Amino acid sequence: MKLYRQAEIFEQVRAKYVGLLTSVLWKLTGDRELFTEAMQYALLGIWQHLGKLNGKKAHVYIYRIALSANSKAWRNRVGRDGELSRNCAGFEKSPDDELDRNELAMLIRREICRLPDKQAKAIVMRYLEQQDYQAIAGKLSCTEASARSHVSKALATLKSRLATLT
Amino acid sequence: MNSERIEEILKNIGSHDVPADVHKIAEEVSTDFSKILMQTRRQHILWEYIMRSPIVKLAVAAAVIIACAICLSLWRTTGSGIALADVLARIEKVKAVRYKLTYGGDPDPNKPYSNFGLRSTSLVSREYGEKDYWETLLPIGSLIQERYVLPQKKIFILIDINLPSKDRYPDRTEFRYYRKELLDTDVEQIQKENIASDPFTLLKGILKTKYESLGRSTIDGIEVAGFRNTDPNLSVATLKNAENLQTDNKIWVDVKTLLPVRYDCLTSLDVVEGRERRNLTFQLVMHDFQWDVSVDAAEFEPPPIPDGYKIADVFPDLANEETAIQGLKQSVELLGNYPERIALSYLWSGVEKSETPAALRLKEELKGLIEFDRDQKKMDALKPMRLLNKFYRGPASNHAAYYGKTVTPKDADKVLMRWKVSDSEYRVIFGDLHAENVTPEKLAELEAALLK
Repeated sequence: MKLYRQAEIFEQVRAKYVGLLTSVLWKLTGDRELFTEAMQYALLGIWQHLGKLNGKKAHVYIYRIALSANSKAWRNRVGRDGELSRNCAGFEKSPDDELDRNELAMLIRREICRLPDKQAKAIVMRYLEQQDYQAIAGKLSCTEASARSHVSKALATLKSRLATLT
Repeated sequence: MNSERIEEILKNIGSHDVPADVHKIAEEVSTDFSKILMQTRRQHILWEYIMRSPIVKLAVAAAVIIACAICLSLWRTTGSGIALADVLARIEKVKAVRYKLTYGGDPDPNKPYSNFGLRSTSLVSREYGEKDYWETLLPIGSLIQERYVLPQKKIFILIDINLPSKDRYPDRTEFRYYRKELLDTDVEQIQKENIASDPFTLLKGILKTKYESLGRSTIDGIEVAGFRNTDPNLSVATLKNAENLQTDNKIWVDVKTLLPVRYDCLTSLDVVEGRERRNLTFQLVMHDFQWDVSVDAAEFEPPPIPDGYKIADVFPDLANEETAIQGLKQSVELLGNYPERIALSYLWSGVEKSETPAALRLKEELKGLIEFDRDQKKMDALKPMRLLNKFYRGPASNHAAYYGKTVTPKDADKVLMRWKVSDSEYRVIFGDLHAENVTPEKLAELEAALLK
C-alpha cells in the first residue's frame, strides 16, 4: 500500500475507532498513566496492521490490538517498578474494602492480558463492553455456544490464576 | 474467596463510563501520534509524491537548488570576469525560456519504485505561465504527464499521457485529468513550500548564493564561465529533517549572452526514519536552455478533458484559512452551530447525533452502503470539516485558540478562532466568519469581551 494512502486510511481508522479503543483500554487499564501508554501502543498497532482494518473483521482486529497494547503497557509497568498502580478507577468504592477491590480489579485487568486471544477478546466484549453473546459470536466469527464457552473458560482461567495470587 | 468476586468486579468495571478527562487524554495522545507520524512519514511520502506529482518533483528539485542559497555579495566580479549581478539583470529581461531537466537518484532497495529518474521539457513564459512535459522513469515503465500552471487564469492542470505497466502499478489504472482553480492562498502556500520551478525563480535563488568561480570552460562549443557552491548550511522546507547534507552545485553561464547554459546539482543526505538512517544521493541537471524564445498564447490554452479520463483533485488535502472557513460553514449546516471542539472524533460523533436537514440528508445517503463505501463517502462528504481540523492542528496551531463552545454565527464581532501569525499580529476568524489580522492588544480586548 502506498504510504500516502496508508496515512489517509490511518486517519480514517483512527477517527472511527478512537472511541472504542478509549473505552476498552480505559476499562482494561483503569489507570491514566497505563491508559496513555496503552493508547500509544494501540495507535502504533493500528498503523502497523492497517491492511487488516478495512475488511469485515476490522472490529475484532481492533480488540486484538487493544489487548496487545494493554499487555505491553502492563509489561512495562510491572517491569519498571514491580508494583501495580493503586490509582484505580472504574467501580464504586466502599470504605472497608476499597483497597482489596482496587487491588483485585487491577490484578484481573493484568491477568486478562495473559489470557489466550479468543478468551481475552470474549471476556472484554462480554464484561467490559457489555455486549450480548450474539454480538460477540458475530465478531469472533463463531457460534453463540462457542462465545459462551470462551467467556466461561476465561473466567475459569482468571479464577484459577487469581486463586494462586490472592 | 476473591476469585468468587471476579465476575462482579468485571461487571462493575464494564458498567462505568469513561471519565471526560480520559477522553481528552485519548484525543491528545491520538492527535500527537498523528503529528509524529506526519513528521516521520514525511520523508517516505516525499518520494511517493515525486512519483505522483510533478509539482512536488519540482518542489524537491527547487528545494535542493534553493538549499544552496546563502548570503553572498552579488556585486563583485568573479575570477571568470563575469559579474553574477549582470547575469541576474540579463535574466530579468527574458520573457520566455525553454529548458530540459533530468533528475536521478540512488535506488532504495525497500521500495520497488525508487529506482527512478525524471526527464522534463518545460516552457516558461512570464506572460502566460508554465507548461511542462514530464516523464517519470520507473523500472516498470514511464509515467508521462503534461502540466499547465497558469497563474493569470489561476488554473493548474495535470494530464496523464502514459501510465506505467498496470499489473505492477495497480493503484494507477485510470488516466486522470487534474484541474484545480487556484485560490490566492493556494498560490501563497505553493510559494511558501518552495514549489517554484521556473528557472527565473531558481536562478535568482542560485545567484544569491555564496560561490566560488570555476573559471572558463566550453560546453557544446559555447564558452562559459562556471560558478560553484558547496555550502551545506541551508534551510530546506521540503527536506528539513534531512541530516548530513552535502551539496555540490555548478552553474555555467554563456560569457557572451550572460545567460545560463547548464546547471548541475549533486546532493547527498541522510534521511532519518525512526531509528533508521538512509543515505540518498541525487543529481539534477538543467540544460538545453533556449532563452527568449517566442511563444504563442495558444500553447498555454489548456486542452479539454479527453474521453474516458477520470477528473481528479490535485490538492486534495490543502488546508488553509479558506478551507477552514468552509469547514466552519459546514459545521453550522451539519451540527446546527459551530462545533464545541475541533477534534475529528468529536466532529464525527456530532454529525451522527445531529438532526439538522443537512445531517439527516447525509445520513440518508450513507444508508445502505457497505461499510467501506460508507466510510469513504463520509470522508468525502465531511472533507471541509476534516480540513478545518487539519488547519487548526497544522498551519494555525501557533498560539491557537478556538471558542466554538460560546460563539455562534450571530456573534459577528466575537473571536471564534485565532492563531499567531507574527510577534505583532494574530489572525482572527470571527463569529460571522470574516477574518482579520489584529494586534495582541486588540486580541486581548476581544477575548476579554468573551468572558463578559
